[in-house]
Order: sequence, then C-alpha cells, then structure tokens
Amino acid sequence: MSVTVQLLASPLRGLVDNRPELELPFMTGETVAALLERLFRAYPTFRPETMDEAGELLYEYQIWHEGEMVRGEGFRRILKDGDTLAFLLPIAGGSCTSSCTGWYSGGPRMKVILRNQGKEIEVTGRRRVRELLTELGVLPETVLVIRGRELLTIDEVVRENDVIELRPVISGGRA
Amino acid sequence: MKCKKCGGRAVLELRRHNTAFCAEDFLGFFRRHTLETIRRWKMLTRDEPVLVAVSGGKDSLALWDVLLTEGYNTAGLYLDLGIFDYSRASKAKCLDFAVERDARLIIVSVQDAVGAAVPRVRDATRRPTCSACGLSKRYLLNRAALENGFPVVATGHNLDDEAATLLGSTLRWDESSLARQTPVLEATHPKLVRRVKPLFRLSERETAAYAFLRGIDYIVEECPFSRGATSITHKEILNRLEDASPGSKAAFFLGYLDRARHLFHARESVTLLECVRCGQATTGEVCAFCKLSDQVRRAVGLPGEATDQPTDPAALRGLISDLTAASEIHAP
Repeated sequence: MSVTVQLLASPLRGLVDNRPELELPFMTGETVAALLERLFRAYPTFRPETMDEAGELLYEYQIWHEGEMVRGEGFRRILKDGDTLAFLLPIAGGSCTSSCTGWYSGGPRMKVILRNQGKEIEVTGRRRVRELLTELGVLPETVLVIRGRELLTIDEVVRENDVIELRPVISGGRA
Repeated sequence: MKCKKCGGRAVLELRRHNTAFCAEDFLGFFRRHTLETIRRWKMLTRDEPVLVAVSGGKDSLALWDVLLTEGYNTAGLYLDLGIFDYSRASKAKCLDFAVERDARLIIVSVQDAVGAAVPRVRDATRRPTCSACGLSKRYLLNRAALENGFPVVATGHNLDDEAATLLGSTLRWDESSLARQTPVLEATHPKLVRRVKPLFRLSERETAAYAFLRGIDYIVEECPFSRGATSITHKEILNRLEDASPGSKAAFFLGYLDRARHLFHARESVTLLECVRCGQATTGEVCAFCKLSDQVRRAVGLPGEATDQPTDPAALRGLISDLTAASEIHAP
C-alpha cells in the first residue's frame, strides 16, 4: 500500500540523499495535490525548489501521473494504490529514464493514423488514449483505437514507436 | 481497464453499461445481446430462412456472422449499386466472407434492375442520389426475398442509425416517419416480407469492435455519396450527447419505441394495393420503383427487363477470380 514518487530531475535527488524515488504510504481518496502537500511536509526543501510563491509548479518542472502530465484539473485526480508520480525537469539537467524517453522533440515518435481523413500524424511523449483523443478532438464513441491486432481502451497508455490507427465507426448515407 | 467478467485485460469499454470486456467476453456479450433482441422482439424463428442484406460494411457482416455462428438458416443478399470502386471493393468483401464460410450469396445488380447504376440515376430522374438508392434498395431487397422464398429480411441497422433517423424525423416532426420507424416491420401484405433489425440495440462502435475482433474483413471506406450527409451530422450530434452523458442514444431511441411511437402509429393508416406493372405492394397504382425505373430507362434509351443472379458457394469461388481479373463482374 504505497505511492511512488519518482525523481527524474537531479536537483530534486540532491535534496534526498540522491535517492531516485520515494515511497509514501497510500491513503485512500487522496488527490495529487494532497499528496504533494504531504511530500512538502516530509521534505520541506522540496517546496521552494519546485513551486513559486503562488503555489504554482515552476515552469521548468513537470509532474506526470501514470503516463499523463498533471495540469490544471489533473491535480485533483485521485491516486490509486501503487500509482507513480514523477517529477521531470525536461528542459535541462533532467535525467530521463525509460519512462520519459521520447519527451525531447528529437526522440522517437508515435505514429497516429487517422483512417477517415487519410492522414498520418506523429506525436511525441507517452500518454493515455483518452488524452490523445482529446488532443486530436476525437470523441471516443466515434472510433476504434487499434494498435497492431489489438483494440485499446481509453485508459491504455500509448508510447513512442507505437503505430495507432483511429478507425472511424460512423457510417451511413442519407437513405 | 479490466474485463468486468473475467478480470483479464479489457479491449473495449462500454460506458453506457458502465462496463468493459476482454475480446472473448465482448464477443459473447454481443451475441447474447443480438439473440435476446431477436427473441424479445420475435424477429426470427429457427425454422424459417432469413435473407441478410449485406453491404460489405461492418454492421451487416457482423450480423450475418452472428446468425451463421448461431446456426440460423441464412443467405446473404448483396445489391450491386454500381458505385465505382466503392461497389467493386464492397462486393469483393461480401464474396470473400461468403466463400470463407461456405454461405450462399445472392447478387442483384441495380444497373440490371433499374436500367442504370446509382451514379447515373440522379441525372436521369433529378431525384437525389441517396433517395433513389434507398428506394431501389428497399424494393429490390423485398423482391429478392419473395422470389427466393425468404419470409424475412434482416438488415444491419444499429442503434446509431436508428437514433439518427429518429432525430431527423423529430426535427422535422415528420409524423409518418415517426409512425413507421420500428425494428420489426411486419409483413402487412402478401407481397411484403417481414423486415427486422437485430442489431438495433447495439451501438456502431460495438458492431465495429465485433467485426474487428472476429477478424471480419469489412469495407471501412464510406460510400462517396454519403459525404456531408445530414444523417452523419445527426450521428455526430448524438455522439456529443453520448460523450457528455453515456446512454443518451439508447434512452432516446428505446424511449421512443416504448413510450412515443404508439402516439403516431395509431393515427397512421395505409391501404396497400399491388402495382399494376410489377405486382409488388404499393399505395398507388404504379409503384415508386417502376416509375423510377421507367424514367431511367427512357433517359438512357433502354427497354427490357432484368434478371437477378442467385449464386451458390461453388459459383462464388469462380466469381472471386473474375473479380481480380476484370473490373466489371457478371455472375455466371
């Protein structure tokens, strides 16, 4: 029963004896924001390092939760037992592990085939299907999300080097 | 996401049922749902042959697949609309499907029956393409069923199709459409066969997932004439509602069947006669199809009658090799 906080940013590891990650006890119903508060209480030097005076995450840092970048409403997301929260420093000095490979624009990309538009696009960074569809403005009800020979649910994580087909399911003419 | 039934990895979430299934359990769910619809709406009996109208698309092939799997006595009916590459590709999908399953496929050519393929009908009659196509489909389906001894025709209409049609009728307050829309159209005349829609409670995404997971090679491309169709706009609007509140589509259409349809149905009364030309059921003297066909034949300078092309599985195999060799096909 724990939540892992990965420190993929070397300045943050320096605050905790160079440990790459921290384990915090899991608390039922806790949000991302509440967990951060708990982290800051346990490690008081974290707050000034990562937050500005208004309590906003400093622009050079990112927090990722289970493959999705935490933004806005994302801080209210409820954590589950075993979840991982990652601090990233993607601009400089970050120490990427496999979980964030491809974040850099030059890295490997994911190919998304939009079957109905006869279009292929490439995106970087792992994310959930739900997030990918939102970014592309596609309603989940209108497509099958296909990777190879499998169908993906909206909570699956898609990543670099994946080839994803968004196959429309709407058919029919005027008859 | 996990399969609600076996706990394995889910491949499809069904938000309106607040559930998710793995491939195997989804296929089971889909078949049970279809059979339950057939039973509850008294659509088919086990001892009567059913003609399945197939277009090569996901819905009709998924329906045929379920009926074949469940041991119904079926044949497929493919209407060759003559819509360029779209028709060639969709016919090939139907032929492949039938041959793989050793099923009987009947092919009827609109060109032969009407006098010209669908793309030329509008110029000949000034009738909108989709309207002439729909009229021809309904007529030829019924006629093929009668001529081949099928008391019932099944089509692959899904929940999205039905909800979009209902939305269209409601926006126009089209009372006669609101009176007639039903998943079971009984044979109200000796020259009309029963028409049923066993997939009407399953969404379009579900039929697509079924076809995909069953490995059915269906045509994903759409009819070129359907671009910008109002019915597709209606589907998009309904999908937005569905996204905001899952179950909207089902509530809209099933609620209509349950609580609203009878209000319109009670007022609708139609006397059916037989067309003096072809003998099929009609409300007038000459049926709409014969009028259409006359107009087309006059415009293209064609007299004469056409024939259907019933084909058994053995003959279909020959057709497939013809299909790869020639651009136009004629059944033996």
